[in-house]
Amino acid sequence: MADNQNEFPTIIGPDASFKGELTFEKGLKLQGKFEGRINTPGKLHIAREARMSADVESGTVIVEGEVKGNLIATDKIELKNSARYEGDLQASKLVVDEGASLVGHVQVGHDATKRPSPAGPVTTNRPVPGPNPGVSQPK
Amino acid sequence: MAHSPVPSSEDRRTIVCLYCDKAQEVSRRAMQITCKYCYKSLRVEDVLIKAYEARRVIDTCGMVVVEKRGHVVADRIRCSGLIVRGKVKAHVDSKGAVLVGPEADLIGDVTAPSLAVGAGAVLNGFYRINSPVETSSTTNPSI
Repeated sequence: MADNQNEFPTIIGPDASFKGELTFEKGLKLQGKFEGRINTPGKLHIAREARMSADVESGTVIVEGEVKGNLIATDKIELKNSARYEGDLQASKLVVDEGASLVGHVQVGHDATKRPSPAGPVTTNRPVPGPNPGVSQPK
Repeated sequence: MAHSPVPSSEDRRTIVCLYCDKAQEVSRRAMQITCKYCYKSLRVEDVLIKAYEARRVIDTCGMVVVEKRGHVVADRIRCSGLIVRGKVKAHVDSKGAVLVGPEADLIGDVTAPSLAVGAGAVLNGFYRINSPVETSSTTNPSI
């Protein structure tokens, strides 16, 4: 319990709903609803019951609930088995548990988060023209 | 050498047709069959890639394994499972899990029921990772 408090000093509880921009240093556990933008060098944990629609720049992101939006993690993104994620993600490392759902552009690797990404969705130099009509194409 | 015309149950495996998604049993030794539902020709053997290969398509009801020194450049890979230890540049449509080993590269769009990524792997593309029972929409109207 004490470890959990050290790791996640900030908790947005299950009955809370947050709309706006949030910055923190250490860690945040989201159990309620969040809409907006998150910027942190620390850890973000989106719990199973949480719902999030946000653009996130973080050190580590752990997803167990439903997330919509773009995630950028300098270290790692973990999608647990209950995770439902829709959006573009950039991370150095990616862990996808069996049963997790992921729809969107993925950029994973050492250089994935180093490249400056323009505002908006991540565009990739995809070599193969995909069948997804809504996906942005390289210039 | 006499072969028995009907293979025993241990000598059979279940494959899913790439075109009609219907399952059927085939002999483990079969390399190519005709789907008994849609009559399309299906390659059922596993594909092992150990060196550079440039192909238009790789279609198989078996596994595709790209070894550490393997490098595939293709328009499309359709398979029942993909293991990447080397490099792949292709649009991947897999009926089974896609495993990307450590230090492997997978560039291109991926559709699969599950994904496993090793440390140091490089991924780039549009990913659709969903268990088969799930619908394509994951949005929640309450957000």
